[in-house]
Amino acid sequence: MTIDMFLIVSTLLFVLGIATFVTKKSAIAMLVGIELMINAAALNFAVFARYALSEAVRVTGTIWVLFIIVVAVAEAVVVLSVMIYTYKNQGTTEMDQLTKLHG
Amino acid sequence: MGEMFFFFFFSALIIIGAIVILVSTNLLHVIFSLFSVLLGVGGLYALLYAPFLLAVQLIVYAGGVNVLILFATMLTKKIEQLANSTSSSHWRSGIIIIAGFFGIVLFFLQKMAWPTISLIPQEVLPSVLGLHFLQGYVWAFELVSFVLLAALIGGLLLITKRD
Repeated sequence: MTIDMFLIVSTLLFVLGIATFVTKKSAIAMLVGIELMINAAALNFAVFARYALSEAVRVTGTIWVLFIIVVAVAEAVVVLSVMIYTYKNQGTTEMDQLTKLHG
Repeated sequence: MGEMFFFFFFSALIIIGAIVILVSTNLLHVIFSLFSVLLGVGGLYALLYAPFLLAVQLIVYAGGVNVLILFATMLTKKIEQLANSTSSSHWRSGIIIIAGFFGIVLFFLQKMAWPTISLIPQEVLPSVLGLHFLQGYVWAFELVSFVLLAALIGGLLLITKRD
């Protein structure tokens, strides 16, 4: 369970998040891809917090994971409310049908 | 020894969940696989001697953000639209992105000489975290709370009916 095994897992999660974000048509599936990427980055912070060489780095890594989680929550709230507003106005949330810039 | 088993178990939860998210066409399957990914990441936090992060992840992320996404799905889609609602267009470019980026990072990962000694693994106690939130990181803490408040108020303002 060395450090590079954890880093491979987090890199794989990040790459799958990118691929989900790029290839999906539904806006909610794209948000799920963003959440995958954010979780991969937070996992990276936690890994370096555990394998740190000083106590200050260990504390910093853990605190930044908490900040990442809060920012991800705020971003999910904003994206979902924009999506609900778009659904009310345009009737759809598929990315290939949202072609008008000003409704 | 037991740690290796749990590491592979949680990694399998994460990777298989992420692959199901990428490949599936049913939007509900995608959201429930996100639940599996969040559980797996929480399990890895526990393996990294951070059980407080596991608790926060389960309560806030799996029990908050994922449920929020489910509610938004229920509000923005009709029930008959869900079964075949996310298709992967351009899946070939997705595979190229995966292979390219992962290959680059793997190449540099195996080049790195990771330090073989480390501190004795111990969790960072929540009391220590709380002290740091109020002493060293107080600016970031207040700003992040303000960002969360602004996001919630803005989201509510955006979707309420205005006469």
